Amino acid sequence: VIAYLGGRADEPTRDVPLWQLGAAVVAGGAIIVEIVVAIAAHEFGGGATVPDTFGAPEAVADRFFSRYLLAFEAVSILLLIAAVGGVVLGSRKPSPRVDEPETFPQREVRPPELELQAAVMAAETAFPVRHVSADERDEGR
Amino acid sequence: MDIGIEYFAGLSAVLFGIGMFGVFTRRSPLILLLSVELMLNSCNLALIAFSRYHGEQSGQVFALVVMGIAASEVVIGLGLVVAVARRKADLDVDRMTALRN
Repeated sequence: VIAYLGGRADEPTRDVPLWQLGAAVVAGGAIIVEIVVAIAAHEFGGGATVPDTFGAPEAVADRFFSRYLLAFEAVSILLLIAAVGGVVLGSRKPSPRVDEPETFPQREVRPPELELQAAVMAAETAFPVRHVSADERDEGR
Repeated sequence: MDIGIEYFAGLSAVLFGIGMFGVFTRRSPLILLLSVELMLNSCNLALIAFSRYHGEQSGQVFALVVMGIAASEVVIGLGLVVAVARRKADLDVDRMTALRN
């Protein structure tokens, strides 16, 4: 994805306000300091002694299919939904850009010949002849 | 040679802090996703380390579940990033305000 996006993917931290940078440093640093202090204050033992099969695939699978079966099923359904969503997001046809109208506005079809004809008829005859477009005619009805 | 639980917990805290810093400061949604991944994986590290420390294997099952959630999050997140990048010039979470177009 980074290769697809090219240089746009890695925008540096441009025009980040200073208070936001400070808040980020404070929040991230606070978490680190807090946990490090908590670790330093606590006296850890050597840890439990575990058999060689600890963390073996058989043991994890046994947990998954007995005690945590519901979580296993929920994650499988979540992954299925995510796969469907990824396909939908990836295969959608690109819709037109926001700044470009979908269709160009229809140019008003107004043949100049009809107006010219009306003017010629008005000049040749005594009657005031004027070209009436289809819209005006429909409005008159 | 055994490495103490303190080092695993400390590394997990440092990774989480770095991820949090990234989420706070970065604007590109791709980098935001990477930062969130960093935080999730620091939690995974802590889960596995304390699972070993307590001799309880449930932590490993939790870590696997977290991996599944992270995978689905990445699928949707990257799909959104690509869909937005296809029609918009700049990738900036502050400017991604519309659900349509």
